[in-house]
This record gives sequence, C-alpha cells and structure tokens, in this order.
Amino acid sequence: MIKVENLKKRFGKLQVLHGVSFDTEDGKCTAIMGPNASGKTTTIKSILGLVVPDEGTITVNGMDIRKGFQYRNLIGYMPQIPTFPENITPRELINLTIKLRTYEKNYSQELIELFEIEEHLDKPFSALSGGTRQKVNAVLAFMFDVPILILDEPTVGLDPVSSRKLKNLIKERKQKGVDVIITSHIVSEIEQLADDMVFLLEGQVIFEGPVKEAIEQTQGEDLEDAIAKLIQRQQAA
Amino acid sequence: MLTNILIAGTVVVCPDCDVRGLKQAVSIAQPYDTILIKEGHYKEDSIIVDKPGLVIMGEGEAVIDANQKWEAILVIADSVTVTGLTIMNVPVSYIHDHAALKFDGVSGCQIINNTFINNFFAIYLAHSEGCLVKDNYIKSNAKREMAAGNGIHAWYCHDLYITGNTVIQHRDGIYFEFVDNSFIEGNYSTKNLRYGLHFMFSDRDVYSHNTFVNNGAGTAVMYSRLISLYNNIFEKNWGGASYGILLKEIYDCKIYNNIFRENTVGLYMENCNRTPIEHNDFIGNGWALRVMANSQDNLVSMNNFIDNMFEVATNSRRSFNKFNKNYWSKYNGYDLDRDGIGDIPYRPVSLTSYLIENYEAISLMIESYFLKLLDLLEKIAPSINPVGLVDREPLMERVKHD
Amino acid sequence: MQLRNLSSGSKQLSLFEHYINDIVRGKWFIAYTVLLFALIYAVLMFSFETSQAVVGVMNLVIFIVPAVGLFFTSMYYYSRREFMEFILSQPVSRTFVYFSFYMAMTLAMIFSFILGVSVPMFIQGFIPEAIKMSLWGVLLNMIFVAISLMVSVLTDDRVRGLGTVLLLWFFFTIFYDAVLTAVIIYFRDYPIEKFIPFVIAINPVDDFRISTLLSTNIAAMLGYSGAVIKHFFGRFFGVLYVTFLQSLWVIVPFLVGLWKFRKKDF
Repeated sequence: MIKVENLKKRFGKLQVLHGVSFDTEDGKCTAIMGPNASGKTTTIKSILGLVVPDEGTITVNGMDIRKGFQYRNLIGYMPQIPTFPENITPRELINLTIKLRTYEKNYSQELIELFEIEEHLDKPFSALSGGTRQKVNAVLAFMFDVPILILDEPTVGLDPVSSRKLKNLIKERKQKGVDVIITSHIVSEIEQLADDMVFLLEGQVIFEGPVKEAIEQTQGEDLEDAIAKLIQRQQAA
Repeated sequence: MLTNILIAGTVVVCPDCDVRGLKQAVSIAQPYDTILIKEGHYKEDSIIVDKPGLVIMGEGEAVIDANQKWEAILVIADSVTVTGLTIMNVPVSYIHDHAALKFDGVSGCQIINNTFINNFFAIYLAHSEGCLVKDNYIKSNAKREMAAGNGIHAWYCHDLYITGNTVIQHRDGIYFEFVDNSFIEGNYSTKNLRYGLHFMFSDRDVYSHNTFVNNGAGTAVMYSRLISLYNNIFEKNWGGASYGILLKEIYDCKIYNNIFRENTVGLYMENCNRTPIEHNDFIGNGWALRVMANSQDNLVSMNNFIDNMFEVATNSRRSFNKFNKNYWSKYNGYDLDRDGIGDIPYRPVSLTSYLIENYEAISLMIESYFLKLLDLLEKIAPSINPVGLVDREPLMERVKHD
Repeated sequence: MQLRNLSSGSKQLSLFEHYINDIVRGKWFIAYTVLLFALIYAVLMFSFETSQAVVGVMNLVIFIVPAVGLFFTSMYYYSRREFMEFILSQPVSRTFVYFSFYMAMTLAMIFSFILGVSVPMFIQGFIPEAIKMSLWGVLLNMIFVAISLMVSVLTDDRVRGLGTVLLLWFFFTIFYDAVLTAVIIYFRDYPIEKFIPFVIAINPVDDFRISTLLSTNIAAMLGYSGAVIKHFFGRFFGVLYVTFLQSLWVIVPFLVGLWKFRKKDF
C-alpha cells in the first residue's frame, strides 16, 4: 500500500502539485486520472523516486521512500511507451533487470510465452516494433512477485489480443492482493480494471474514492460523464 | 754500432732495436733524416722535435702512447712531416693545452694519414704557416665540454690546407682563430660536443666539400670577412642552440651550393652583411633561416626551401636584405603567365614565426591548433602578416643547381 | 516473497556491463574506432622517423580525443535519458547508476583509444611511445568524459548541452592557447616565463602536447621557455602539480555531476 501525503512540487515557476494526498490499498486497482498537465506523471514519478518532491511524504508498505532505494524492489513499473537502448536485446534487458532485483524467482519465461515474443528475444530493440517493445515492457514489470504494480498507459500500442491478456494479468495479480496503480486515457479500461480512482486537476486531488462512488456522487450516467461533471464542478467552485 | 742503424739518413725505431723510442731517435737524427717507427706500442710523452726537415714515419701499428702523462709531440722546427703514426692518451688539463701533436712557430709542416685516439687536443698549430693536414683520423671519447679539447686547432696561422680529415667527438672538430688565407676542404666532422667547425677572426679562407653532421651546436663562423663557403653539407645539428651555421659579424662572404638538412636552425645570421646566399638547399630544418635585424645587404636568391617548419624568422618588421627568386615549398600561389615565377609575392616569415621570434614564450604553442589556425588565417588573409620581408618573384619549381 | 541478499556482487557489475555493451555495439563507436585506427596507421606509415610519427599522432589525438570524449558522452547520455528513468525505477542508488555510467563510458573510450592509437603504434614498433601515449589516452578520456557527463547532467536541453560541449572543446583545443598567447604578448616586459609553466599546465591538452613535444626533437625549438618547462615538468614538484591539476579535472566535474544527478528530477 502506498500513502501519499501533502505532496508539493514546483518546476521553475510552475507549481505542478499543490499538496496531493491519497492512499492506495492492497488487492485493489487505483486509477490515477486527470487531464493533461494535471500532475499525474509527476505524482507517479515521485512515488518511483524519479522526481524529488519539495514537500510531503510518500510511504510504500510503510517505508518512507526518502530512506533509501530498496523500496523500489517492491514495485513493478511499466513506463509509458518506453525507448529501450537500441543496441541491446530484450533478453539482455530482462537479465539485467533480474540482476538489479533481489527476487529468487521470476516468471519471465511464462510471460514470454504468454505474449509470444520468444523469437524476438535476441534481436536488438532497434529491430523491434512498438507492440513488441510494449510486450517486453510488460514482461519486465510483471516478472517478479511484487506487491505493487505501477502501470502507465499499459495497453498503448498493444494489439487487442495482447491487450486482453495484459488486462487478465492485472486482474489476476489484483486477486492475489497486489496493489495496482494505473493511468490510462481509455475510460472503458478504467471501468473494467479500477476499483478506486484518484482524480487530479491542476495539481490537486478533486476526487478520491471508489469509482462507483464517483458516478453516484456526480449522478453521472457512466464514468466518462462522471469525470466531465467532476471537472465542471471544480471549475464552478 | 751507430753505423748499423744509420742507413742513408734513416733512424729505425722498434721495440727490440737499440733505438727504442722517438725521443731517442730525434736526439741522434740529423736534420732532414727519416725516422722510421716500426710497429709497436711506445709509451712516451714530452717528445720535442727540434730538427728541421725530419720525416717521422710510422710503419704498421706504430703507437705513441702518452699514457695520460703529458703532451706527446711538440714540433718547433720547420718542414717536419709526421705520417702513419697513431698517437693516443694525451691527458686533459685545465691549465695547459696538451696536444697529441703540436706545432709551434714553424713553417711547411705536413701531417698526413695519422690516427689520433683519446687525446685532449689532437693536432695543434700555433703561429705556423704553410702546413698540410691531410687524411687524418681523429677521435676522442670526451663526454663533457669542459674536459675536452679540439680536434684540429689552429691559432695565429696562415696558408693552411686542411683536407680529408675525420674528426669525431672532440670539443670543436676544427677550430680556427686568427687563421688567414687557408683552405678547409673535404673534411668530415661529427659528434663534437660543441661546434663541428669553430671559426673566428679569420679572413680570406675557403671551406668547401665538408660535411658537418650531428655536432652539439653545429658550426660557427664569426668576426671574419671574405670567406667562401660552398658545397658543404650541414646536417642533423639539432639542439636548443644548434645551427647549421651560425654567422656572426661577417662581411663580404659567399655562401653557395651548400645543403642544410634537419638542423634546428639552418643558417643563423647575426650582423652578417653584404653576403650573397645562393643555390643552397634548406631541407627539413626547424627554421631554415634566422635573420637578425642587424644583418644587412645580403642577397638570398635561387635557394630551395623545402619542408622547413619555419622558413624565415626575423625580429624586425622591416627587411634590410633582398630575397628574390627562391623556391619555397610552402608557397601556394599560381603562375598564369607560365614564366616559372609565381604571380603573387611570397612572405616567408609567417605570422607565427614572427610571433615566436619576438615573444619567445609563444614557442610553447608550437604544434597547437591555435597556431595552426593563425597559419590558416594568414593563408586566407595574407595582409595580417606584419613583416615586410618578401620574395617578389618566388619560383614555381625547385631550383636545379649545377 | 523470497528475496536475495541485496548486496550481491553481480548487481554491482551488471549495470556497468549493460552500458559497456550498449556503447560498444553502437555504430558510431565502431566507426570512430575504425577511423581512428586508420588515421593513426596512415600517419605512422607516412612518417620517416620517430619524432615525426609521434608528433603526427599527437596532433590527431589532441584534436579528436577531446572532441569525441565530449560529444560522444553527451550524445549517448541524451539518447538514453528515457531509459535512465527505467533504470532509476529499479532498486538501485543514483550514485551507483552514475558511477556505472561514467566508468562504462570512460572504459569504452579508453578501449577505442587503445585499439585506435596504441595498437597501430605497437604494430609499427613504437613501443615506448605507445605506452606513454596510452597513459595519456587514459587520462584525457577520464577528463573529457567527466566534463561532458557533468555538462549533460546539468543541462536538460539537449541542444544547449551539446552547444556547451562544443564550446568546451573549442576552449581546450584553441581558445585557452589563444588567451595565453595574448597574455604573453601583452605582458612582454614582465618575466612571465616563470609563470607560464604553471598556467599552461592547467590545460590537459597543452600538458599532453608539450610533454609529447619534449620527448621529440621539436623540444629543441621550444627555446628558453621550453627549457624552463622541461625543468619544471622534470622536477618532483612539477609532476606533483600537473598530477594534482589533472586529477582535479577528473574529480571536480565527476563530483559536481554526481551532486546534481543525485538530486535531479527525471
């Protein structure tokens, strides 16, 4: 579980986060949503330690992330449309990641078979299509028994079949008690996967709670409508 | 008994003879006798030859060994000939100019085909005239300039003829001071600690067909006039203060058909005047020519300047000498009228050469890209060159000397 | 959850190994090494004697090595910026990542220097010269990779970063000597010869150039200043001074870069 408290971040003159707080729970999927430039990426990067917040605390399974880098061992991360080094092969990258991690066991072989990328493993990334790279990206995030998964637009670039496989994988992990955090532009995907939602607008959390509650609260027809109403309500206020 | 050894005016010296040394032989010889020294190792020094016309002749390996004691032979009589001898181990002295073979105040001596090994001075001529020094081999093992003497040393002499000698590893190979009307021809001087040829206050001399290679400071010709210098080779005289030739206070000389190859400075001219420098080859020197501003009215013409790092250096922005019709390998002008002469004048003192000559510390920038950039800029805009020295008729082709 | 010991040895080397693989397989890296080998080989073949060969190699090295060290490091850094986010999301410390990156880049550059410069010198029989040249190659690459990495870490904008690197290359190869020349001309009436060694020794490119020249016959052309600097470089103090300065060129940029890298947002 991740606990974000009063997160503030400024890039030069631009205040990107104005005190963001939310929690995520094990065994649930939390969607971090919001329009462009709302602070989604900065929030996720803060959790991963890529961005150093000006203020606020983040704890991951009770560990303050400022205390060291070991907490990242608990997180599987799928970055958005990753550019992997062109001279390196997926197999080498998978092996590198295994060495950087401290898990005795990994499920890389099962995932490679699942996504059918065996034949691409020894080609350099420069020779791989976007879809294949995204599948490798998924393998890298899911191949360990991590308690937390952070997935940034996970299905972008995937064909429908692989996309479905990935979604099933996410559900499976959630059932095993993994804390899943996801961002996506595809609202239907969120409806399928997410239990909770954190909605960000201009660096502030304007909604935190179960997805259903968002629809009920705003009396929206569906999640998309609810989101539109959330934004309207905020702008009116 | 004397009749046995006195045959037709010849005194024979050999290790087993009655006459067992040169000193003894001289004492019993008559003027104009021949002293024949048979093969053997004679430990003798301080031999004084005071009878005129003696011919002292070595046969086989006749070695006079001074054994580091004193001078070997001093000749004070006229017309003495020394030939075929080997003289060695004359000691270094800081007070006395010990020589293997010294001639003092004589005329008409001949020193032919001798070998001099590990002596302080080898051949020493003082106040003498009309001497022939020919085909001698002179070698020392001197390491320090202070503890070394000269190979062929001439002082207050005239009408000498020095030819075909080889001098190795002395202080100066050939040393002339107050020596007039003499020839130095076809000698080979190398590895001398200071100069291959050191030449001062000596007028109307000729030196030609000599080779001076790899001497500590090259050669120096100073305080002299009416010298002719031709067909010599000055090569590989390389060091912080080394010159193919250093000319200092020189008037009315001629320098032609010489080769200056791979010297730090090919020809250095300080207060050198009215001297034509023609048909010489300057190849691969650090500086081909260094002309100080006090050198005037010299003509530099029909020379080849090939692959020198700097062609001409001078410490003045004005030129008091005439440079005309030379071949410069760095010249890249054109010749539209095809008369063999480049259509644009050439300035052989590059900007970088000028800077280094006038601001010594800039020499530390040699081979830096900054100086290369300056050279390039000068090629593009020749007007940044501040020096007046110019060859108005640079040749397009290398000069073929006769 | 089964966890291995966190400080396993393979982890220490794995990232370094990854960077080395990635750099050495790059087409620019291979092209550079081959080109360097060809150029140096040609220079050596067309030289008549040792001094000429050594000066020819030195001329190429002072032009190419700083340029490639600076540009290659920056370009590589910027091209792997997004992947850097992936690396940093793994359980690794930033110091470890920075150190691995620097070591890999430096060793790759040294590797290509040895192949491109030292090997042709060995083949052509310039053995002592090749050894001396290799030591300088190690030092120059350590310096220019450190400087370039610092600039890249400090500058997020790729174009500005590469621009800065270009200026630095110009500074070390040309501008420093230009300024020094101007100083020598301007202060001609002062006994600056004593200070010139101290000042010129600051620039690693000049150190390399002058120490190479002093070992060749061109030393004779450096005149009085050359004698002063030879004396200076030859003494224990001089060696200490130069070693100290050159280590600063490695340590200061390395540490400044590390300091920024540790607190930087990606």
